[in-house]
Amino acid sequence: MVLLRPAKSPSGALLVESGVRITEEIRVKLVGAGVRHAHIVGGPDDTRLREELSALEARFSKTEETQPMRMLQELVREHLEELYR
Amino acid sequence: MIATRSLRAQIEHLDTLSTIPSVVRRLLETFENPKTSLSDIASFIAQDPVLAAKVLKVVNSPIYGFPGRISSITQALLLLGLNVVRGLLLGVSVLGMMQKSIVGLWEHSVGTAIVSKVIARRKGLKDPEVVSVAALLHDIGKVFLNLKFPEAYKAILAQTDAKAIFIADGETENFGVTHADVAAWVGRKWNFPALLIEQMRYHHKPHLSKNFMLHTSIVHFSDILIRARGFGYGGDGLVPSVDPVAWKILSLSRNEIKETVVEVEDLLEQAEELILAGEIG
Repeated sequence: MVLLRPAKSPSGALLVESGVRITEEIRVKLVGAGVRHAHIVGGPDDTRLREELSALEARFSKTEETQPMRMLQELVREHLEELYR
Repeated sequence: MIATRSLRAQIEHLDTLSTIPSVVRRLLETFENPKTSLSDIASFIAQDPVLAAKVLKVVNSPIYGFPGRISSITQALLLLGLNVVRGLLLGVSVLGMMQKSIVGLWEHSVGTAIVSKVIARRKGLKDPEVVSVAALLHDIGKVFLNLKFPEAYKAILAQTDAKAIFIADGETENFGVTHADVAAWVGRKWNFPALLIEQMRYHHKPHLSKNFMLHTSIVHFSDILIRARGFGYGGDGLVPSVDPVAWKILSLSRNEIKETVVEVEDLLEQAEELILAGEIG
């Protein structure tokens, strides 16, 4: 998620410039400063999803290349994408 | 390598180990008596309010999902039957030991039990709770191997991570048997029914199950599915391949598996309290 417009405090002070990626640290800072709405672009931070998908690949690294197992891996990948996107 | 006969004798006399909690020791003594009745089990649990609370937590969890709340052990015994409650008792008694053996094993066991319940119901089994309890206990052999041979087992666990090998292969290399064999020994020693023993013994080789292939196939596939999802830790970070015979018997479509995964995700969330119970033993 990236800020589409600058985030300002309720009193109008600039807190974060537009174009900045919202990390957990920035989110906490904004909420702490009383910001309740922000204009954003893009989906949620996909770091967790990337980690989950990478772990999924590792888990299947010793699995036989059979049709059921390929289907199972693909199905869990879809499920994780739905969970974390 | 220790001779299998000697290994089995040592596992079967685990109740003499000083590291076994007294409640488990007393429980195993009770199980050794083939004439143990419903009222014996009820009295045993009644003497231990902590144990009773743990059993009630499991029977009221999404593993079973009875519509009304089960508030007493007597009610649980009547609803679930002697053998299921005996299995649950063993499960909740060793859960602290499970987490000490392998961090994440309790989560893996609860997760496998929940998947088993969902699939057993989907397949129309009349006794889904028997499959759930077998799934809850399917890796209990790992706990007992770790208790009896802590150093050797620690080395196996280190190997599974370092070399990316299946824990069952590490066990075979070191002991000549796997946790599934050990679970079957333990099950026989403590008079568990053949249905439960066969599911534990063949959860990696369901095609060898002579009498309960559908039940065993459900536990087998549930173990695979929960590993694929990455929930808990069964002693290695890998997903084993599905047994072709089990796959054919289960005959689950892609859509059915997808629905199962989604349903399980919700149930795992609902089971959070039970899963956290494993953290505190």
